[in-house]
Amino acid sequence: MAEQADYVTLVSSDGYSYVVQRSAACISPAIRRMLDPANGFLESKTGVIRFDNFHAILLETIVKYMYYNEKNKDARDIADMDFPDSLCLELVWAADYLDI
Amino acid sequence: MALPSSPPLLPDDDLPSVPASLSLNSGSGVPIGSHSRKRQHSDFAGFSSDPLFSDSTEDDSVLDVDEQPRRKRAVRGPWWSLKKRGERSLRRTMAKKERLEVADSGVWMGSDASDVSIDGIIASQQKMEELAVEDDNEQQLPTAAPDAEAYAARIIQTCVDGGKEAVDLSDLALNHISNTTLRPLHHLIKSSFNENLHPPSEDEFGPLTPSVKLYLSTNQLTALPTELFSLANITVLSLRNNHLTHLPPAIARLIRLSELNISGNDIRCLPWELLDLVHCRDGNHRQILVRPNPLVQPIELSGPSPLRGQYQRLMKSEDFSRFADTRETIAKIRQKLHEQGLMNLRGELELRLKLGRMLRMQYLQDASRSSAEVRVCREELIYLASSSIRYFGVDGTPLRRCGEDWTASLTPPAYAPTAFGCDTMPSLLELGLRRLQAKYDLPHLLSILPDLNVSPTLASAIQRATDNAGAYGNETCTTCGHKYVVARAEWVEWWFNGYPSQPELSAETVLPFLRRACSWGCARVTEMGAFRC
Ligand SMILES: [Zn+2]
Repeated sequence: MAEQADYVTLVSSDGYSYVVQRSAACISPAIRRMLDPANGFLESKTGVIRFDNFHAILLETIVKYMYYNEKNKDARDIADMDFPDSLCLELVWAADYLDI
Repeated sequence: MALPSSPPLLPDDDLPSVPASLSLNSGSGVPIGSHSRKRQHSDFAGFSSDPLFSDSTEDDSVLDVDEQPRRKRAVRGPWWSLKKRGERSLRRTMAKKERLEVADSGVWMGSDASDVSIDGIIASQQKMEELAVEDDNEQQLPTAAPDAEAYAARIIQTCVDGGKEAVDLSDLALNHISNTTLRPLHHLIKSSFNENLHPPSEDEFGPLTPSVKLYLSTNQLTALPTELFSLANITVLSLRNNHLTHLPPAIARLIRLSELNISGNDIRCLPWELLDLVHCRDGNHRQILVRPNPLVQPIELSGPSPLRGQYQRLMKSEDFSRFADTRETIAKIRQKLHEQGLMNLRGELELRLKLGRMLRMQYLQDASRSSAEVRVCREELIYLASSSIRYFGVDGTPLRRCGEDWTASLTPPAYAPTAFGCDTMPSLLELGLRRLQAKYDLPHLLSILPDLNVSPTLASAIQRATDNAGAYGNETCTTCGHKYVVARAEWVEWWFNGYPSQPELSAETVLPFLRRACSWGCARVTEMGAFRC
């Protein structure tokens, strides 16, 4: 199996790119499957995932959550991550989509 | 006693079932079997590329085991953009709701939701007036079910008016009782003080608090109104002989409860929160009648313990000095029983009871030696065993297919999902749902949900958020105490509740409690040997 880079790139529908640590992005089982070479998705070779449904602000919040989760991996009783109310509906949908 | 014959339902069964047509993707005429295997691809319709190869057998082999039962619909385009009309009306309602909240805030703060209660009183008075025409005789009991609730409302009003603390709604053929009907009970004040001409002085407020005894026995109730659990002055509650399939965790809010009778229902598991009521911390022993009910047992408990006659013999041969470690001693005895072929599931449970008892005795001895005042309940409450843990995904879908039955699992858990990242942190979906509860008009969102093209699993998560917000509030994690919308794990724990004089387990002394947790990290069963004192 080829060595995989430590970072992956997540691209929003409006073309913004977020370079994210692979381990942080992989809290999402959906992204994990995408990046698993055994599944044969192109993304597993390029390390670039495009989200045609996530605009930049939404994707940025998701990335923020990924890092927040990764960073506090072994922590207990930490405050919930904050996000703007206006993103709420889209975030619920995106979280369901990504299984996070 | 005639027990209802309908099969017991689990609490979750009221969630809408997923229509088969929705769970599958549109398009090809592939038979359902292979279609569902291929769905992994279509789930990623929003991603940028198709898989390099799409051989379905290849695909099948790489599926995570924990993803198998999950079925999601491919969403083509974000759902909020598909129905602009729906969203606009949602925003309007949200704005309206926000204005309302501001306007309401002053009214609701001072009094205890008095305007709602007045509505309730007016409604019940109207019912009374309607009834008064046809029912002159107070003693006459209704025979027809349709008027049963109106009759109950009338009894409640009579009790409130007369300051009568015993509210007898038993045997009324009630198959439903609403919040509105119960609400006037908030206004019940003891009769002796009603009759006083002078207003009660400061120190008379204590005894002014009524001790409401509510008898709902021998009806046909399948659910309990949420209002019941906000009647904090209930001291006696009888739900005997109804068709209840579960008891809500909110039962623990009735902190003044001294008698609870839930016998003769269809209850299989008790809420974990009831353990706090069974456990008499403060020496105030509550009388809680649970049986008969079709309670799930960890294993078949009839017949003698395999340890009978053996345990004492092994205990004597053991060097059981005062300084010996109790857990080690029990472990040695377990080993000897194994060697003699006497150990089985039942034996393991009996051994755990012995362990819990010994540790409890040591605790009590230590406490009395340090001359601390200990008020001990005559009843023991000792942890025995847990079922295997059922894990759920972020939207509440079981990770693995699981049957309806709970049985004790005495070996370490065979299966636990791997959390990538923090295993106690709320999911992003959970955070979003909580925010929806706080900021959105959820009933309205639900009403337009069918138009919004969301996955059925997300729809049911939003349904749950709405139900919680409209009823008891969110549930509390039985491990960390945080509130959650979507449970991520559940399991049953069996506890011994009986007297020290009962040497062996029996079906009558083992209670099943259903525990639920906010995260996979909180899915931790109680430690062997645990007890409540
Ligand atoms: Zn928890």
